[in-house]
Amino acid sequence: MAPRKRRMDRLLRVENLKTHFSARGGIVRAVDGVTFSVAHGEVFGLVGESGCGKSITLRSILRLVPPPGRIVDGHIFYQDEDILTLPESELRSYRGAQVAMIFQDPGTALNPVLRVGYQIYETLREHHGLAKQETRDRAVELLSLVGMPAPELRLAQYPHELSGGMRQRAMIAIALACNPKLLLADEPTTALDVTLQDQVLRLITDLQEQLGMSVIWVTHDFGVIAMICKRAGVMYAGKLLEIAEIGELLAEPRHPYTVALLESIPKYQGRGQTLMSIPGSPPDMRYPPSGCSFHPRCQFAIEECRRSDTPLREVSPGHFSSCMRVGEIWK
Amino acid sequence: MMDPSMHGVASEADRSALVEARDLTKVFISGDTLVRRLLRQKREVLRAVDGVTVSIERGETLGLVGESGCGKTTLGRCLLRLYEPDGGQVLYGGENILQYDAKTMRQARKKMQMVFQDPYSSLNPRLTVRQVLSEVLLVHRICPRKQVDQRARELLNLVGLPQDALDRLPREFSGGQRQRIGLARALAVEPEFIVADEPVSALDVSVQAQVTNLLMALQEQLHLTMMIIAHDLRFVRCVSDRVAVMYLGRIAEVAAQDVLFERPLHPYTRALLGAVPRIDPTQRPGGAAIKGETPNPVDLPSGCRFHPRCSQAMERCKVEEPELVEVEAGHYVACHIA
Repeated sequence: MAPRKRRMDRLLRVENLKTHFSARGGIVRAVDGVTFSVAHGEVFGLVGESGCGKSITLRSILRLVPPPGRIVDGHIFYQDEDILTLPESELRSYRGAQVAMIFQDPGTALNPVLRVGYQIYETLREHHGLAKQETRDRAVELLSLVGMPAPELRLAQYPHELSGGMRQRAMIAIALACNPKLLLADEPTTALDVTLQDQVLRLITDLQEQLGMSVIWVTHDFGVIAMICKRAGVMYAGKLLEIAEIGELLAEPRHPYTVALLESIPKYQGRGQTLMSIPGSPPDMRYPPSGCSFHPRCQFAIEECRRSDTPLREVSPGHFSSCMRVGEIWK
Repeated sequence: MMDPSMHGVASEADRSALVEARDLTKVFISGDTLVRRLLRQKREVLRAVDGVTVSIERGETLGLVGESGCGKTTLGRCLLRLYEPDGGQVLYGGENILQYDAKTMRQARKKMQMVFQDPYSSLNPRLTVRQVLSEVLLVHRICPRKQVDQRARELLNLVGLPQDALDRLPREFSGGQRQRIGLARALAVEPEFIVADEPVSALDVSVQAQVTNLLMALQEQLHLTMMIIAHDLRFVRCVSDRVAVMYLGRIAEVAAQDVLFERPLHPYTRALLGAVPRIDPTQRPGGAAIKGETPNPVDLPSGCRFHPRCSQAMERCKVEEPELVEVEAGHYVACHIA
């Protein structure tokens, strides 16, 4: 293959990533040819419904795909190094120190039998080899950074002694322990009530600006994406259908799926409005539809959509869509 | 001005109320084990619903919102007497159903049904749709055995499922379709009143709109009275005539949906609405994030339950619990400053 054009402003480039799972009755193509990039200091959103492959994309970036899943094709360039070719020994300094992840459910992501303090020290020692007092000071500093009330007290507590919001903060503190350049957020606010979600979104936005890190935020909620992301990609059935600047994506979507998804969200208008709904339900990924994966539910689908699958194409500067009829639908 | 109906005095207003809760209380006691008794440890008393008065008029949809643990599901279940309340009254068509004996209650149940949140666990995995529906039809003697099949097909039609669904098992359906089966089951007895507990929150985003539309269409078509419990405020606004906001077992505010969303008076309602992420950034209300988290309901704050998190709390709020009062026609708020 010819040498790729290197773009130094990109912290992460995912190219044609394919992560498949072998399951009863066939192969589940959870992620099937995903390409996107994240710039230094950028917050990039991945929106999609459950099972569209957005979480598996995140896990692939850390090379932590749960078995029987396997990355079968593609490249993931982190600072121009293809991490899919790294030996396991070098991955240790990549995970945690360079790229860290926060999860949807802090109740299961934290170890229930270890004190919160220990779980932070562990990460610090692994990557920094700090002395004991330094480790403790740094842990308190981290907990204060994430707005944990009474941080010193928390070090000696177990996760079950913390409230849901505090657990989420503890998990963010652990993720930030080694100053990662890239934070992967897998629906960290989905399990929270709206008032807590609001607190966590504000926290992450502040931290991101303060620490200058890049973030990939995965969610099914366009509202969350609108609040914190600069650019976002819309995923459906293992593929990215559209990528654009957030304002443009919301105001001028250029894929029928994005349009339909946005239309199906109740507006703050009041009672009685019939919502535009998308017929059918997302496909079984063992038997993905031929051609464009959205065609069975798309109101604009023509015969050609069933036959061929178009990759993302730039429809206006920085705005990519995979819809082959984009030129006809939006004249 | 106080609404007389709030004090149990019959008035013009509540003549049209189909369902009414008066000072309803439901307490859960945990840790009441022999070991704990022997050790003389204190039992934990959780007042999940703590003196709730609310009415639902015939043909209207009341949305009930609040954060997890605020008691909204418990209230919904108490209204159907799926939980036995510990205090207060539940009036259905003017009669206190808490005084019904088992037989009368079974009769009354025909008029009131529940739709559950999780379409995966609320259907028996080993019964076909035909069995699910015919069971209900026969138990409640809705129609003669000969007509059961015909009626089941009509129900499928009503909720937009194909006829060939009859002989399939729940696992063969998607989440949205299962929720439709749950609806068909609830509608089988031709109820007047339905409590729907988070009917769309377990569904895929693209499917939520389908079920939301179906709920609204059915409500209109069958003149149902509904209480829809949900945490998603956008969804609630879309389906409700009036909305009640619950916080820690009590009603904080009740108003017509446009009034509640446009002119909320309770600081908690304002905070809740302000925290909803908006898609249109120009619509995003600024303002400070709400402080802290919901306190442990076992150990309730004194006075107004919201005061520790309220930005406008005064001395009075710490000691005196505000009553739910009517501040303008049909708009009830439990707040000292409203």
